Amino acid sequence: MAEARIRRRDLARRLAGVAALSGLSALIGCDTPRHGSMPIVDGVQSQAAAKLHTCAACHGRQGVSRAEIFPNLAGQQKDYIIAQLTAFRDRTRQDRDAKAYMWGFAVRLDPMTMQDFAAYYAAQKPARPAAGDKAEIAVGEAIYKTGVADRGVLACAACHGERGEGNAEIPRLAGQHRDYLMVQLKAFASGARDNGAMSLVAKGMTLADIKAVATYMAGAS
Amino acid sequence: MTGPFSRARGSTLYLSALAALAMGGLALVVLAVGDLKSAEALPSFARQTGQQCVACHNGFPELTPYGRQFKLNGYTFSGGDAPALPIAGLIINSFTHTSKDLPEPALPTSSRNNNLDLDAVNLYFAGKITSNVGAFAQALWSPLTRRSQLFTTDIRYADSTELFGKDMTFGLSVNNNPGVTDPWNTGQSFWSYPYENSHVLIPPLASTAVQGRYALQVVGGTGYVSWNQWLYAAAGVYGGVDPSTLDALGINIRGLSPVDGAAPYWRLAVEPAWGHSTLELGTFGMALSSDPHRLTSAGTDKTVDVGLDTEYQYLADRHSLSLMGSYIHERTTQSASRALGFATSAHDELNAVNVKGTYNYDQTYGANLGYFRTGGSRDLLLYGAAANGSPNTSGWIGELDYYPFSRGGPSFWTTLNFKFGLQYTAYTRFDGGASNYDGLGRRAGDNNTLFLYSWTIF
Repeated sequence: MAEARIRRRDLARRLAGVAALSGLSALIGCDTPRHGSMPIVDGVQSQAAAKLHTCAACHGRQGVSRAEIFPNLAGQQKDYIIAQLTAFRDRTRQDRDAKAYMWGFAVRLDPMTMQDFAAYYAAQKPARPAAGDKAEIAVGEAIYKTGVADRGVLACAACHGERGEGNAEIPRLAGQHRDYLMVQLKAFASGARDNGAMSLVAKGMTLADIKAVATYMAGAS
Repeated sequence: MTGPFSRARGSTLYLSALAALAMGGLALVVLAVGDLKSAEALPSFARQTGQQCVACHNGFPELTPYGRQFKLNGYTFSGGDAPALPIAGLIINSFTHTSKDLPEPALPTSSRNNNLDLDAVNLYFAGKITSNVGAFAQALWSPLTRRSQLFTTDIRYADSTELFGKDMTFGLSVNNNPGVTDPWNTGQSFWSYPYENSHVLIPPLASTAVQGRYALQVVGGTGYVSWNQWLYAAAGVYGGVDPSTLDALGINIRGLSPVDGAAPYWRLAVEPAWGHSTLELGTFGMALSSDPHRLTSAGTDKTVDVGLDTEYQYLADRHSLSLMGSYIHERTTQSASRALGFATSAHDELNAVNVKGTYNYDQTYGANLGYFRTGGSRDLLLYGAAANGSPNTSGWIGELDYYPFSRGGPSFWTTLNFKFGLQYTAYTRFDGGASNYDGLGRRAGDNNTLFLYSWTIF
């Protein structure tokens, strides 16, 4: 009996602990936006500024990411960022990294917040060009500017611009991470990232072509 | 098994077997009919971020670079449809077989060999509390120890700013486990390989302080900065907790030599990154005074641990590789222990080496191989259970893992996850010798262990 009473008291004490922890959470659970010293550009609402902190963990506060698996967003086309965030939210962009990282973050994004994110990153100074192998850059430049006719690879410049600056929903490529560009071209080729035009182009590219174009664009400004 | 525990032992074994079968059955059902959708890591984190397990983990619990950022930012990233309370659970089942029966059961509730156990039921409060405050708090109930208790608890404040034009994250953690704040898994505390081990074995006599000797027995604060995701520095201080408080929290008072006064902890690391690779190089350590066997009449012993560590990760779409290594040197000035007759030498040293490699295919199948060696000064009193007074233990640990839902759980229970591990430990030395280490003819190899375990995470 005494043992049972001790056990009951023990259980009550532990339940009280859990309840206290839960109560604490409920009390301080009101979500104060985190402004920090995040730079806020025109048009970025406080809610978006608070959430930019989360984006910055991978993409950098100024839109230049440290890890090459995460794309640089600095200077990216605003419409392209909005289109991609929408595709993450609607789960129509289905490459593996999109599923693993971005589907979750985008699930509750409203159009206004997307606009703010896109405006912020589009306004940042693009990443510094990366150095690369000169021979590879020359090959990449040729493919980028003129394509590979016999394999159906169209000139990248036709859509992405002479300097890789992009246009509206067509992304900026200049200064993007080489590794990220390669992963995306492979995803277009395999169909993991669904885009009719890019799939056609990427399927015609050899691994050497992909490496060369990615190196050229990573070094462009 | 006879004596006062026999009935409890019987019912525990029965319950454990039942739970193991139920979990196995559930796993099979889920695997058979599961329509793969979004997956979860520690499910409360995943519910909060909406992200897959693989975002943070390279075969959980090992962290990816992004997982390290999540931890350093105080578990506060969010995006998914998080419930009001970040609660998650983990049930651990296991089977342990040693080459030869143990000389005696490790616990009153276990057998000398072939233990089928429900090891623990864990409850987590883990996730964002405010935009800048988050927690990883764990409580567990174990039928093996017949205890419910508070386990690792790490409550953080974190924020970010810029320094010299680069991102900087900074924070403060209050926790009860020195080293648990670390974002790498190289050898501090007990969040390093092997991430699960049997609880019904008699462990080797020696390990260093920073490898978890004082886990749960202390409380302290650690401040940290991470600059440009390249440089990480942390410093903290820990102090002992009185036995009645530990008892109230259900924590078993391990060891007989609690920390006396303030025990500083420090950590410095750099992590260059390129392509799909990261390479961490660092150093860490702690210093502490302790009261041998809770006696203070002869003063205190002084212990200083200094560690070097490295972690290389290559994480790609299908193939992932990680290599880790740590070396810890521990020097103990044990004038108090010697005066009280607990040690023969005034100074003892320990060196611990741990290395491991992991290959994961598609974040679903994992193969690991690790080598461990702890060696140091002989001390016939301190290591009295070893026939020659030597703390030397070494061996290999291989493990095969299966993570069915790293990228997607079943549609009817998306927050359910599993890990199945098949582990084999081969000892080349145990408590000072390869043979007759206990003076009773037991060989190191008699402790070779086959260990199967499952984690059911929800």
